[in-house]
Amino acid sequence: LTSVVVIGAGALGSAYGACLAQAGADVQLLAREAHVRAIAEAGGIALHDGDAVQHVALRAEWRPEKVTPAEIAILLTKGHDSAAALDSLRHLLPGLRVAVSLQNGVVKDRVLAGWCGPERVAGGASLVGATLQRPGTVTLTSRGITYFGPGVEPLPRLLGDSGLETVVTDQIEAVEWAKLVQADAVMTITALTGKVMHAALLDSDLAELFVGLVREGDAVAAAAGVELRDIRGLFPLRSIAESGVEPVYEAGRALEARGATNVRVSMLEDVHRARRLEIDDVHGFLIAEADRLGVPVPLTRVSFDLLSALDRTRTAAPR
Amino acid sequence: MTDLELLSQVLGLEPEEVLRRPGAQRVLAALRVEAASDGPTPATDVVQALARARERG
Repeated sequence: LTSVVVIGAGALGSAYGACLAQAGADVQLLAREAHVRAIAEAGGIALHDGDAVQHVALRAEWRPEKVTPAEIAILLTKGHDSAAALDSLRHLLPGLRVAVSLQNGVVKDRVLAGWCGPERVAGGASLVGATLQRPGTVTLTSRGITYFGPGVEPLPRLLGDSGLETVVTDQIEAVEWAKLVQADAVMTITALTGKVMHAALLDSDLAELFVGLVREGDAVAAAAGVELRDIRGLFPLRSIAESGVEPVYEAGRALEARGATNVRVSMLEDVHRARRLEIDDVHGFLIAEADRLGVPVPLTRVSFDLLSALDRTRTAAPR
Repeated sequence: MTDLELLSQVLGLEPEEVLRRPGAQRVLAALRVEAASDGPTPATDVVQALARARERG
């Protein structure tokens, strides 16, 4: 039996945990107390997927010191909570075989490497969507692809058994960078306007801004030695960087054509709930890399400042 | 419309609240610098693009 611990099991982590448990893994979630209590009370988690609801037995814990050793760790905390969460789980290190983060960005792998050593870190990127309806109940909203770097077996097979598409690639860094650049552009044009995804992509001003941000991300990635490519499941960033707005409009029209007309970034919910926004590992990372590599990223800087202005946790103390 | 009013509209925040956000303060400073120079105007371009998009609903 493969043992897996999901560190930071909010919506996405709970969905992955449920899918892995369904496929036969021994899964523990490290999650918020209310979620854990609801799971304990029900004897498992309720996984909604389309019209189907499945009750999946798994273990959950909110106290890090009570988490038991597992051979695979999946990190899905908010980026700014990673270091503290991992620090509280040092007792897992002796039995750990591999750790993978499915958070946004690239810096996550460095944080993981600092915890368990780079030899045990596999890259990963998730295009799956999920929402936590209430404690103990999670809904799969989008069955996107999960990309892994090599060395994470049997995770891809187990997720595949549960019906999630997975791809193992030795080009995982390129996938992570593409997801990072997409997140940078998408968060900017949706969270700062409140628009649903397809409407933002079809807006002429926002499409231009999207292109500008993708080109800046492309330049930073290139300077870092990573070639930005069109990745299946993401917007065609290489094409957008080279061709301009038309592929952006096409992406918007494609969403509209398949009825995906209510896609909202989770950051809007974070703004609404006055939670800290996850921009440090996306815009902040790109800016830091740009500074390190001498690449100008003026649009990304303005985006970061505007998004940080929406973040009530960054409000200055009254003078 | 002043820069502060424009930013207030883009962020959906009252002007006095805008002034309490360090990120907004940096954007206001950039808008002032760009207005006084003949160089590139990224902050102005981004803020105006967002404002037009918001106006279109």
